[in-house]
Amino acid sequence: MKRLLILLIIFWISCTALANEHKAFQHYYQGEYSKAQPMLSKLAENNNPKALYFLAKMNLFGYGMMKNTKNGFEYMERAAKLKNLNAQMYLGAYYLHHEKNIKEALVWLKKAANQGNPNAQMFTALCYLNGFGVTKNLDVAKRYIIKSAQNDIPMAQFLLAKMFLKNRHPRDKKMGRIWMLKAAKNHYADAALAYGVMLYTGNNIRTNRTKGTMWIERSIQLGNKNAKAVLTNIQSLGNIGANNNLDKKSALSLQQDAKPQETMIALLKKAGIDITNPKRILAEGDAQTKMPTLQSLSKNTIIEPDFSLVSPNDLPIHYILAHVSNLTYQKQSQKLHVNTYTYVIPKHVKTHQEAFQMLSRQAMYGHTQALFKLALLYENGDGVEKNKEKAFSMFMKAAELNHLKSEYMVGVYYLKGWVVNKNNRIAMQWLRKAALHGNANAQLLLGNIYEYGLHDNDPTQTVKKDLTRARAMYSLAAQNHIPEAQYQLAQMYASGLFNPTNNHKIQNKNLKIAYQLYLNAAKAGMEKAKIYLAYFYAARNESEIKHTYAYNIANKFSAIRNHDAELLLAILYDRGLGVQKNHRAALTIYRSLAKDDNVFANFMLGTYYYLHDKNNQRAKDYLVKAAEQGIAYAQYNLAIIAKNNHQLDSEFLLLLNKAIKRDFNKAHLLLADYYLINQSDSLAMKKAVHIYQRLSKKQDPRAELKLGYMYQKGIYFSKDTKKAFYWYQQSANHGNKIAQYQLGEMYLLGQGVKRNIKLALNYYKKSAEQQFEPAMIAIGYIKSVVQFDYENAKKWYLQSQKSQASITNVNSQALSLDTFLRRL
Amino acid sequence: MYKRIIIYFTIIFSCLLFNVASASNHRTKKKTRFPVGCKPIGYKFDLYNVIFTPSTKKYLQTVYFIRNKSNRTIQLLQANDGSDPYIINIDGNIKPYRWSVLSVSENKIKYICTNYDKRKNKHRVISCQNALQICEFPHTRFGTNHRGTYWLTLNKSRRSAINATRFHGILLSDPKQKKRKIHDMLFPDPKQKETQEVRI
Repeated sequence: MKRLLILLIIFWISCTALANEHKAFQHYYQGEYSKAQPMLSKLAENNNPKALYFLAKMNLFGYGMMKNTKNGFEYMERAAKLKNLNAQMYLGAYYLHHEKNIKEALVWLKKAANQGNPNAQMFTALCYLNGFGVTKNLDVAKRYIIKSAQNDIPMAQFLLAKMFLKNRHPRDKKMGRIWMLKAAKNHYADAALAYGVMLYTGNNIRTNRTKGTMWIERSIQLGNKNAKAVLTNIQSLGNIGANNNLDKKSALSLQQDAKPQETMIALLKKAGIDITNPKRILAEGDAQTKMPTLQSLSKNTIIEPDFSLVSPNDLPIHYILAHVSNLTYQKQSQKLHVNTYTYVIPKHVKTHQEAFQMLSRQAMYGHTQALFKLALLYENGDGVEKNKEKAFSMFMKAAELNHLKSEYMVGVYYLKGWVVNKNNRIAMQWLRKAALHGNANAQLLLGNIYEYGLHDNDPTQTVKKDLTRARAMYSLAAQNHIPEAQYQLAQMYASGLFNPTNNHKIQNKNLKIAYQLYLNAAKAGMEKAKIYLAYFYAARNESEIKHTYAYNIANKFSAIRNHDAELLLAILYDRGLGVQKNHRAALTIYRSLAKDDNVFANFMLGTYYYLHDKNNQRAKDYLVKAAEQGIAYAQYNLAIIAKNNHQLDSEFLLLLNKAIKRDFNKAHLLLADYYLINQSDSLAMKKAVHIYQRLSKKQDPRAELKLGYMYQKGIYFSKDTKKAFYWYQQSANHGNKIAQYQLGEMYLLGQGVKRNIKLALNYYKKSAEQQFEPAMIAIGYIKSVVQFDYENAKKWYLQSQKSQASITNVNSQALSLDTFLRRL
Repeated sequence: MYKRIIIYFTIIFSCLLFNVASASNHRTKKKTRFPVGCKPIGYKFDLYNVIFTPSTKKYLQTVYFIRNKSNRTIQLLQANDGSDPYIINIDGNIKPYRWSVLSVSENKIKYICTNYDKRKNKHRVISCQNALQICEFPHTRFGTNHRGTYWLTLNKSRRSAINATRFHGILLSDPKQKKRKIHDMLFPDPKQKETQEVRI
C-alpha cells in the first residue's frame, strides 16, 4: 500500500515537473547566460545531456563567458554520447564541413539517424551506398533509405522506387510506382524525369504520353539537365533509345576523381538536405560574445491601469441608444391601444341598409361572421339606428360561438364599461381568450395592460404590472405584424429593461432583436422607429451607405425638433459619419440640447470643456449634471479628473465607486487594476479578484489577462503556471495583445506548456499585428538567436524601432546585425 | 488485516459511487437525439411563436417530431393568422421530456406555447424556443386515409412515438420519394423550367 502511494506521488511530481522547463533552461532560452551558467554546471555534474549541450554552446560561442573551444568540445562530446540529438548533429556537421572527415562525421550522424533524424538517415544511407568512411553495405544502406523515405526525403523515395522497380514481382513494381510518384511530387527532378519516361514509354505503368511529357517538362523546370535531351530523343527516336538514355544518366553517378567529402556535399545538396551548423554572430578571438536578451514585460505594462478620460467619440453608440430609448420609454404616455373594427360594404351590396337586411337574414341561421358584422352596423349606426346594447349582445352571441374578433370586442366592452358595467376581470378573461387564439389586437391591448397595469379601487379589479407577460403579449402581436407592438417591444429590448444585470451577451442579443423590430416597424410606416433605426446605422462598423442613411433620417427629424434625432445629428457631425466632420456644428447642437438638460449633451460638453482647459469649472458642472442624470461614463470621467488633478486617492476611489454602483464595467476594471498595482491589503485584493472573475465570465480579455498574471506570479493565488496559461489563452483568443505576448513567452521558455518555437512565433506575430513593440523585439530575438535568420531579425528590430525609438537594446542589436550582415 | 479489508471496501465503494454519479451526470447532460432521418428543418422560432413551414413543397404532407425539453407541461395552441375568423382547435399538451408527433398538410401553421395552471385556469405564454426541440421527416409517405393536419400521437418516448407513427401506416422515410427528389434535381421538369423563366 505504502509503495503504491509513493509511486503515485512520484508519478504526480514527475507529471507536474514535466509541464515546466527547468529554470536553468528558461534562463538560457531568455538569453540570460550568466544566470543560467551555475545552474547548468550543477545539472552537468549529474550528466544532464541538455545542460551539457547548452554549456558546450556557451563555451564554444562565448555566450555569457569567454570562449573556450576545448571545454566546449568536451561538453559537446559528453552530450552527444548521452544521446543528445542536437549535439550529435552539431558534431556530425562539424566533422563533415570543418574537419572534412566523413568517417568521424558518420560516427555521430549514424547515432542521430538511429534517433530518427531524417537528414542524418539520408547521410548514413549515402555513406553505406557509396562506401564513404565505411565499407560498402547495400543492406544497411537500404535500411536507412527506407527510414529516410518514410520521413519524406525525396531522394530516398527515388532510390527506394528504383530498388523496387528492379524486382520482377508485380507487387514490387506497384510499390516502385508509388514511391516514384511521391518523390516526383516532392519536386525531385530525377524522379519527375523517370516517372515521365515511364509514363511515356509504358515501362512498368500504363502508357500515357501527355502525362509523361508533362512530368518530363516539370523535370526540366526543376533543373534536370538531361531532361531536355530525353524529351527531344523521345519525340524523335522512339521509346527504346530514351529508356537507355535514362538508365545511363539519371543514376546517382559519381565522378571517380572527386574527393568523397566533396561528392558527399554535392549529393546532400542534390537531396536538398542541410547538415551544416548555422553561421552565428560571434566575438573575435576568445572574447565574450554579446547576445541579446529577451526581457519580460514589467508589472506596469501588464496591469496598465487606464487613467484616461472617456472621450465623447469613444462613447459606444449602443450605449447612447439604450439610454435614449430608455428615457423615451419612461417619458411616453401610458396609452392603451384599443383598436376597433369597421364594417366595409362588399362590392355586390349598394347601401348599408341592404347590407343590414342581408346580414340579418344570415344571422337568423346563427352565422357568426354575420352576427359580428351586424353588431358593427349597430355599433356605428350604419344602415340602422345606433344601438350599442344590441351590438354588445350580438358580439356576445358570436363570441360564445368562438368568433375571434367578437371575443376581443366583448373584452373591450367590459374594459371600457360600454353598455355593460365595467369589469376588468371579465374583460381580461375575454381578451386572454382572444389573444391565445391569435387575435393581434387583443395581444397588443393585453401587452399594454400588463405593461402599465390596471388600477382600480376594488382589489379584485386591479391588474398588476407584469413586464414578463407584457413582453410575451407584445411578442405575439409583433409576430402578427402590429407596428405599435413592434415599436414598443423594440423600446423595451433596446432600453435594457430585460437585462437588469447589464450582461454584455444578453445586451447584444437584445439589441439584435430590437434592431429587427425597429426595422419591421419602420417598414410598416412608423416614423418614430426610423430615428432609433438610424442609431443602429450610425455604428462605426456599418457601411457608408448606412451612415448616410442615418444622417438623412437625423437631419429630417431634427428639423421638427426631435431631441433624439438632434443628438444623433450632433454625434454624426462629431464623428464624421455619413457627413463631413464638423466639430463646431456638433458643439452648437450639443449646446442647444444642453439648455433642455439633455444628458448626453451635458456629458459631451463637460468632457470637451475639460479636454480644452483642465481647470474649467464649467466642465465639472456639466459632468456632475450628466452623472446625476445616470450616465456612468460621466461619473467615471469625474473620478479620472480627480485622479489627474492629484486629489486624494480616497476621493478618486469614492467617485469611482459611484460609477461602479451604476454597474459600469470599465470602472470595475480600473478599480481592480488600481488595487492590483498597489498590491493593496487582502480585502482589496479579494475585491479585485472578485471583479476579474466576474468580468472574465463576460469574456472581458483585460480581466482574463490579469487573472493569468496573478496565477503566473503567485499574487493572491498560489503559483500555478497551467492556470496562468489557461487564462492567458482565453484573453489571447479574445484579442488581447499583452496576453498574446505572454503566451508567446510561455511557449518560448516552456513555462506551463511544452516548448514550441513555432507557436511562440505565432502568438508574438499576432501581438505584433496589433503594433505591440515588445512582441516585435521578441520576434527579432527568436529570428536571430534561435533561427539565425539575421535578415528578418533586422527587419523586425527596425520595425520595432519605428514605433518606439528609445529602446537601447534594440538599437545596439540592430547595429550589430547590420555589421554582421555586411561581413557575410 | 481488518484495516486492509476496510480500506479495500472504501475504495471499491467510492469507485461505485463515482460511477453512478458520473452515469447520472451523463444522463442529464446527454444531448437528445432526433430519430434517424428526422432533421431540424421546416420550422422557425419567431419571437415567442413557433411557425411550421414544411420543407416538402411538392408533396405537402409531412411529420414533425416535437419534444418538450422543459420540466413543465407545455400546451401548444394553434394561433389564428388573422385571416380566418374561426378558431380551429389543433391544440396539444406535451409533458416534460416527452415526444409528440404532428402531421401537417398545410403551408404554414403557427403555434403559441403556454404553461397551463390548472388551479388558476390560466395560461402563461412562454417562448417556444426555450421549451421545444423540433425535427421534420422530409420524405414521408402517407396512406390516403391518414392525410391532414392533426396530432398523430402525444406524450410518448422517442421509440414509441416512432412506432405509433408507423402504426398509422406512415412510412417515415420513403425511399421512392428520396429517389424522386434526386431525380427531380438531376432532370428538372422542362415545363416547370419554362414557367420559372416566365416568372423571371
